Amino acid sequence: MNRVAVTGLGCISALGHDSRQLAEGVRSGRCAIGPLTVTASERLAVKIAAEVAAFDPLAHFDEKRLLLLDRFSQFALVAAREAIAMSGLDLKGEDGLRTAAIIGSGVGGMTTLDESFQRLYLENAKRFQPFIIPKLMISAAVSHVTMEHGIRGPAFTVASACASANHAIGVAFQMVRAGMTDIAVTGGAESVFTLGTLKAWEAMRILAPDTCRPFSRDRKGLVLGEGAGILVLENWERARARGIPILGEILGFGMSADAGDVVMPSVDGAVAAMRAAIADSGQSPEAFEYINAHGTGTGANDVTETRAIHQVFGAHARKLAVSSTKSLHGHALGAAGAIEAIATLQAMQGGYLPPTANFTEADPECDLDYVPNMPRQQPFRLALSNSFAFGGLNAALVLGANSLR
Amino acid sequence: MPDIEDAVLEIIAAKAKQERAALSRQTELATLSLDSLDVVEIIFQIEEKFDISIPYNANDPATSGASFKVAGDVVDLVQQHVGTQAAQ
Repeated sequence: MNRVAVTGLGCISALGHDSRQLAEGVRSGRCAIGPLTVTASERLAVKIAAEVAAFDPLAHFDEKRLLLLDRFSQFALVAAREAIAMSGLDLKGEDGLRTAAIIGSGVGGMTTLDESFQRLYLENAKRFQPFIIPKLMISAAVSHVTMEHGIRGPAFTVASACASANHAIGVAFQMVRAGMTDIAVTGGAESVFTLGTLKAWEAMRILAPDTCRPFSRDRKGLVLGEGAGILVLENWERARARGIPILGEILGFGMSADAGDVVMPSVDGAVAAMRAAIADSGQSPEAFEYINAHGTGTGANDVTETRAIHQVFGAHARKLAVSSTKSLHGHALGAAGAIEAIATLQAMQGGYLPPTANFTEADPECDLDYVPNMPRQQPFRLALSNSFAFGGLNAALVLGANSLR
Repeated sequence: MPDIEDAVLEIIAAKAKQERAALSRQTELATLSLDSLDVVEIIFQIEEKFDISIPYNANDPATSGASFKVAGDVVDLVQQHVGTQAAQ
């Protein structure tokens, strides 16, 4: 089995348009949640979001190309450009034949769908633009990433709602580990800030009206985010032979399904995914130092996840630092796991524990060390990153520092 | 406003798969084995029926201003919103 190195990171999120700004935001505990501006909010009860602010598509793509690019594909391309540039790889040559592209998304091109149907139903448009279908399809983002960079190996989209990115990274990791491919460009992309999508989220009654306070007693729900996170995974020996910096390692991946309620999370499902990931990594539970929690800030998730961590780690749970960076960059849904894996790897490199922002008050049912409000200067080398989706689909990644083994 | 009371109890009874006659203002909601999805559905149906908005957050039901202990709490909440939102 091959070791799997991370050799490139790219991110666009509410904290900024590149991965450096993500690291700076997490390191300073800056919460990027603010007023919703990308869509009109008069008809919405919840008027806050974690938006990718000041994003000008024309700064990245020409007009002709934008006819084919939904906002979620634009985000995927911006993050992939950064990650691939960081890796120093040129995939247009031979390497592109041994490269996979596996990118998660929860819903795909909602902006395109919403705008098109609005034209059809409200404005009685007689016809659509010719390429609405390839623009809105959930696999559009990964297709455009392959086309822009010449990636010609296995390529597909993974969809499992809020766990999409973790499932995508996990499958990419397994393929590189097994030698099915040498390189994988992987992660997640999402953009759902349309009136139709936000009204549908609002109807579930789980959005916070104020801000995202994971694990805090007065938490009122999740705050939606958007963006993309892309990682370049590479066969470890190959990366070493190239002599480029190795940014971290993917060590394990675990999955499970609750087979229970469609929205209420289950302790058993979360436990099973975490245990599977830890077993897959070959590391002992006591060696873990940090968990980047799913930590949505809903009443149900945060208690369930805390109980699951206690079950998996026993007495060691008290020694773990557990935080939710969703309190900083919002819940980016199908992109969440990728943004959080990147934030975790950056924190390992920087020697700090990411904080849980907006934490005001301890909840007796959430009794772990959540690194409240301010990051902590503390080196760590082994972490777990959780994603638990609606529909009960769970995926956990084990991430290691390049100095771990 | 007995019509509001009747309509609200009817909606709750249907979700709880009970006869309407089995419910009164005093019925404790906890005894109806309603899950969180049912409660969100009940609020939605009430909003549609009376054309009102109830600020209900499943993470923090108290924000709506009602305790959701007995069926009468929901009736009172609806009567209050129908009154104020009609006045606007």
